[in-house]
Amino acid sequence: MNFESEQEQQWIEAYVNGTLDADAFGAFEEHLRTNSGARERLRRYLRLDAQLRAKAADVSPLIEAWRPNRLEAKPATRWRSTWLPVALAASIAVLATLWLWPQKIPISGMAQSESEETTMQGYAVVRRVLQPEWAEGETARRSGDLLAEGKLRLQSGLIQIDFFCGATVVVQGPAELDITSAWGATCVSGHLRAVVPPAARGFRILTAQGEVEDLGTEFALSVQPGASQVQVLEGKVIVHPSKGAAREVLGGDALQLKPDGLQATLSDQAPASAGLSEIRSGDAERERREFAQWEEHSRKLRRDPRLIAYYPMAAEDWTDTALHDRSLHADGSKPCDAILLGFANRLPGRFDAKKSALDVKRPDARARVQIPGEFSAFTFATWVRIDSLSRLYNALFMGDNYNTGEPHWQIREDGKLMLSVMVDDTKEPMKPGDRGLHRLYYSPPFWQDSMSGKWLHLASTYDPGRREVAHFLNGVELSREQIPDKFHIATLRIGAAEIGSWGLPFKANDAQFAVRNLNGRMDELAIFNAALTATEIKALHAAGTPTEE
Amino acid sequence: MPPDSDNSDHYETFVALFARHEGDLRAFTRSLLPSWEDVDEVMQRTALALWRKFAQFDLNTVFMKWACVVARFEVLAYRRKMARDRLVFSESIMELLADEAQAEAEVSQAAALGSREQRALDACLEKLPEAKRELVMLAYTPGVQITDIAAKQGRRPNTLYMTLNRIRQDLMHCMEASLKQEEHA
Repeated sequence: MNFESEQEQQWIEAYVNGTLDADAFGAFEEHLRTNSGARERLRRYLRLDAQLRAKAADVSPLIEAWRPNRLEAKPATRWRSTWLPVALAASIAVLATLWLWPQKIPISGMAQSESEETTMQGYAVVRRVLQPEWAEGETARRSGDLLAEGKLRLQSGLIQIDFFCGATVVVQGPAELDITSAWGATCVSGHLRAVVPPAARGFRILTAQGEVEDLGTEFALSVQPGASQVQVLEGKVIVHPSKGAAREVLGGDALQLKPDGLQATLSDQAPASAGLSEIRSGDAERERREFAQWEEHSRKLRRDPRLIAYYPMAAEDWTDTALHDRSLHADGSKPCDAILLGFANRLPGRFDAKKSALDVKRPDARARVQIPGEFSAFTFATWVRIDSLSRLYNALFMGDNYNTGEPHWQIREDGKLMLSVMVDDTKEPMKPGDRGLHRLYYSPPFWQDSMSGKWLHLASTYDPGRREVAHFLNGVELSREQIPDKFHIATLRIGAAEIGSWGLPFKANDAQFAVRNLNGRMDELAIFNAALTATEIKALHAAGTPTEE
Repeated sequence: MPPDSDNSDHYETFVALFARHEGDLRAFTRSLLPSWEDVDEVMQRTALALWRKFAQFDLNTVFMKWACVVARFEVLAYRRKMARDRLVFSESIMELLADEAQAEAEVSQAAALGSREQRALDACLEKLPEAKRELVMLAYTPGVQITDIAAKQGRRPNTLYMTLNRIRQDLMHCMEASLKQEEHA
């Protein structure tokens, strides 16, 4: 920003610093009264002042301040005090409901503090779950969830927990396990099997009657009221009873831990609980079943007359250079196969790699389509496994030239899903460097670092009829926004476009292009000439979920 | 009449709207008042007034627009009670500034200018030498007086103000450049 004069600059700076004297203030006011440019520059300067103040107060949005962990971690700021009178005016009961509410607007904890190193909380990760039923009030754990200290109460089913020390534990419900560190847990009740490689020697499970320390390999533990049983399947463990001396137990032996000491028991029977091989084969079986379900869903979906294009990305949908569009094209039009160029890759997809996925993360990779026709609405729905949001804009589906009616569907680096359609490419842009009349519709930030490497279902709808744009994550609506009259456009187009990148130069004679290649994989992409309802999006998500359990 | 406080839907809606616009509303208030102490005071009153009047707010209209009207009223009421020796804009200038700021807020909201500027500012702060970044953050921390920093650092307040002016000027240029670069979304 350039000031009109040095005098103006001095006035504005001194006003903001609070160092202007009365005479100068009078002159400054007179200058403002007659000069609209000066008023605009003052506002710009004060806007920066406000942005700096917000930053320095470490002011995360109010919502952030209300999250339980933030309340403890952050010192009170004056900013939050803005809220105090209102919070007091409302009843405590109402406040209590707010603890639940921010979950609707997930906030990426990462984007706020670029200078800090990313950290997460966890001693272990849920590797597999099999037909779990969780105790009442218990969070349903899924594959990939991190576990910090705390209890897991499983009614039935199996869960495989990989501790970061290297030990793997399979817990069979009904069981109650209390994780205490990366090196151990307390088993309150139930059966478990632990596999402890040499690197994790020293891994311990505590029970009411004593502690089991593993010196490598595998043991089974069954904890019941009054007594626990340890059976060493292979290798060696040390049992430290609450009373009496510790004892080594070797492979093939078993011991009972009782409040009054240890007692050797029969060990020639198979352990009561399931181990790794059981949960693995159960998991594989479930994946086969889910894959079969998805195949059936996909066969039905491709007959949906509203589809513009559908890329299921199953094994039979690929050639070396193309990705087939399997939508019906009942009107006799040709399928809009995607051409794979450069270093576009085919990588393992969902359902334990029974499907394939598209990888266009290299800037020289392209999956290009040509989709003719005019449309009255859009729905884009896809499965993605994002490694990281490494670009400023991370492409999902991008019209080449962004001409009138063409869509751009992408994710911004701060984790907001965004959809836009060029309304009129002949109009003056609203800001310098931009192009034409268009509007970006954002979701709240949905991305969290813990989502990295997990399959997510993303969908966005553009509905000129109802004048609405909506965004969805895993079948749940993130946001819904009105299309203002000024940005209304009824006739939509696609034309030449790319999946997961935006690689074509703006001008034919300019080699420069924006790098928006998605750092991750896409598995299944459907584009509809309609705005699907929230219920339909939910169903799409449910039908394609790789590990629902 | 204020909305029933145990109507939690209503309360949640209000909290969501207020949370989303609090930053912009503070910036709007700042454009009219001479110091952050004044802004903090008026923001408290505004938050309370908004909540009391929330039953009258039509959810189909723009919250920020309505909130600006309420905040503007609170600013003017506050201004009338301010000490006469304070250097605060006359009512006519304030009205002029408020009119223009309200119009500007609408345009910038449509272009999501706030969040783009925020990101540009973050990037530009990163580019500052560490000592400067620390100084500007310290100077803007609520409750911190420049004169105190100056005393601690053994420098004259005037020198610090000049340094701050230069930092703001650098940030402004840097932000302008990066917003220009951020093209063709």
